[in-house]
Amino acid sequence: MDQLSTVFGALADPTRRAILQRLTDGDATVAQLADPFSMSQPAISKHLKVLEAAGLISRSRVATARFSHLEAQPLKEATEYMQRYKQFWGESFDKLDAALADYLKEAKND
Amino acid sequence: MTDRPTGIADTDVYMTRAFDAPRDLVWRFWTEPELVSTWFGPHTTHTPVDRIDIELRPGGNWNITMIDNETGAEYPIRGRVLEVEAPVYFLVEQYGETANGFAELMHLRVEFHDHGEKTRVTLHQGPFSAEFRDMTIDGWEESFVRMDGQFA
Repeated sequence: MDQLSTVFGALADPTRRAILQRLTDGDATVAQLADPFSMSQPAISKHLKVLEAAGLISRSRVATARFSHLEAQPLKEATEYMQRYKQFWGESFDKLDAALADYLKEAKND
Repeated sequence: MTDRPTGIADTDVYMTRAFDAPRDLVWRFWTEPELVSTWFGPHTTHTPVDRIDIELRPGGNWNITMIDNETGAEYPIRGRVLEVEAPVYFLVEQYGETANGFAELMHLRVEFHDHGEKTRVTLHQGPFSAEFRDMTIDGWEESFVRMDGQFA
């Protein structure tokens, strides 16, 4: 599986998305990340492993604490990928807007 | 906490736009081939009416082929209607032709909200998953890459 697929898989889970959002405020330990969720630290650790495998976070050890750090690049690629679809529909909507206006103008003139 | 935090990539595309036309007419522009062909697809493509096959019933076809204006390359979209309630919404299951045959991929749901002389269209397409990536290898990605190149 290529990296973008892994990224989308990792992003498919709401808990993992919430963890990423928390990390936009700064690095955090497993305990700090587990705090807002009614989940055990091992359960959070599992999510962190998925995020790490997707390259969305990196983890470092300071003394006994393990910190998670948000990695922006894979997220940026995934966002850009979906951005192309938004562009597809955005352009189509612009054309639909114009086509409707033409149609209504003609109907009025008839 | 919201399910879809802002600033974080999601797995689905959500779009909404208000159009200056009554709902019945906007619905026709999405479902009648001769009207769909007037607007569907990026600026760099066109969509001939005889390459649009929309059957508005559960199990019906939802096939649209876009053609690149410059190269003539074809970008087919293949789908099957799952649910339809005129002029309120339709739900299409899109699939792509891959090297391994057909693979079911994602859903496209388009809703039409009546605001008198205006209509709000909301579109939901997804999920963008691993299976979806398989399709893009021989599907839309080429056209979007090309499109990106032209807009660069």
